[in-house]
Amino acid sequence: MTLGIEVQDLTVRFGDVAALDALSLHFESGKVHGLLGRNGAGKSTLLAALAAYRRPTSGRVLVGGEDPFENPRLMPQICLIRETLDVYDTETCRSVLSLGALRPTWDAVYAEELVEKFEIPVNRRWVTKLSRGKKAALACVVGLASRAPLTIFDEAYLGMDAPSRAAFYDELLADYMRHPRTIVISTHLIEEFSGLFEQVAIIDSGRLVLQGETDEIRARGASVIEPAEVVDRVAGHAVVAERRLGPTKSATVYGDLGADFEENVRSAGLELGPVSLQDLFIHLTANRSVKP
Amino acid sequence: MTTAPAIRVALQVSRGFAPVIAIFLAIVIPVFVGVGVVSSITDGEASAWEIAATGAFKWFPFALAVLVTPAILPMYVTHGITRHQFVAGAMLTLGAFALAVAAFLNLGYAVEAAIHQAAGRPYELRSPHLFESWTEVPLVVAEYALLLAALLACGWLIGTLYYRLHWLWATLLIPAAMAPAAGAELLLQTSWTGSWTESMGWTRPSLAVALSVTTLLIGATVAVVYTLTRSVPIKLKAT
Repeated sequence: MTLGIEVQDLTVRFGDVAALDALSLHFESGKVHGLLGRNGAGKSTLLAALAAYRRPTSGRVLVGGEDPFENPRLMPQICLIRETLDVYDTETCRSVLSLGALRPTWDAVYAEELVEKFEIPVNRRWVTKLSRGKKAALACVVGLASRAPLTIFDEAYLGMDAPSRAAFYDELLADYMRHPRTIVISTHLIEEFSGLFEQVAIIDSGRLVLQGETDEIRARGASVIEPAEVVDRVAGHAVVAERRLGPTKSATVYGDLGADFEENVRSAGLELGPVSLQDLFIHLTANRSVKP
Repeated sequence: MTTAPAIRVALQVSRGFAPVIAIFLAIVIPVFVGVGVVSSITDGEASAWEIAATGAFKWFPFALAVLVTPAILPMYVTHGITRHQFVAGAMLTLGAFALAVAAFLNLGYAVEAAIHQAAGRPYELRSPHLFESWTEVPLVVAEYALLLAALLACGWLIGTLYYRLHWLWATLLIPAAMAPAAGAELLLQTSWTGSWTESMGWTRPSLAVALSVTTLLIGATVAVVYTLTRSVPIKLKAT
């Protein structure tokens, strides 16, 4: 079973600040979605609203066609995993895993397999005594073993080292194939995760900037690589990013490139590559000033 | 998974509290056995258990109750439990805990009385109570269970206020939040409150009135906790 998500004119305010500002978007059921946004863009607030952690100020969130807030039928089917695991300092790792059994879809055997795989020292250990990486791994174990029809990871893996994150991506994909569900992943590690995302939503300042199939979004852009003076000939298209390495220059262009773009570029002897999701993300969200 | 969510919450919360309570008992029981030995030498008739019953066994559970919403609620919402189910489960746990402590205190009196009897010394409770003797089990349990339940409800309310409101408002509201426990003390008029009301010349309302109004006070406090909890956002804890 999987659950689709419909967000309609969603506004969440904290005093005078609108974390989400009339946001509308749709996450298709049974897909892996990437939710991208800069710090303070409203990602965590959106995910908290999806998981019934907070009630919207206005607008609607529908999961599987129903409002999830205080919905006893729906809440057990939604699992939001944050880096803190939302556990109190005196909880033991074992008690965190035993809490998983409150959920009807929890797979205790799979949880044990994952604990072993990620080498988490769970026996007689307080959660606070785990390293940040192991704590993040435990959070990911809880998320994966929940087998919730809507599973959401909100930067849960930040503390994990690169090999552990790679193992997590592999495990996430393998389990998603075995047990299809809707997965939403919020991350700043865009390049690392981009291969997992079937659909991507980019939000900024509480508003939707872009949403669509990852492949379609990437097909709307291209990386043009060759000697610098030749690359400058692609002027006229929106240049998302530029990089120089000695005499070589790479320019990422995005937008309506036209039907003959690829032919023109190739006939000019330039090399074409796929657009980087990270370059596109930076381009689309860079207008907001960076505060020191 | 056919058990009602509230009961599953109650069992899980009880399992979570069990190690802390075990540590508490491991400290408190030897202390009061020691106090009992000293008091049997200096003042052979008085009950040491009575001091434990009116002190440690009330305030330690109160401290645990303060933690219920801020420490435990987020974990349960994370695992798909609604706030409504959580409040029902926590209420069952705290209610059962109050009854268990009251029964345990009654047992303590029984053991202490047996020791006094074996030593050939009279056994005396010096504070005012609803009961005349520890053998009046329903009254012993009613007194301690209601006083503790009122205190637990107040602790739960205070913790909820701190989770829901700015700390300044929560702090300012502590006296109001403690009012139900004070009300229960004044209605039941036992231990030091009983001595004080006696000295003021106040008389205790009839047993039926005292017990039923105290129960209503506890229920009203839990209702306020539920009102504050049913839409509370689950905050993101600092890493």
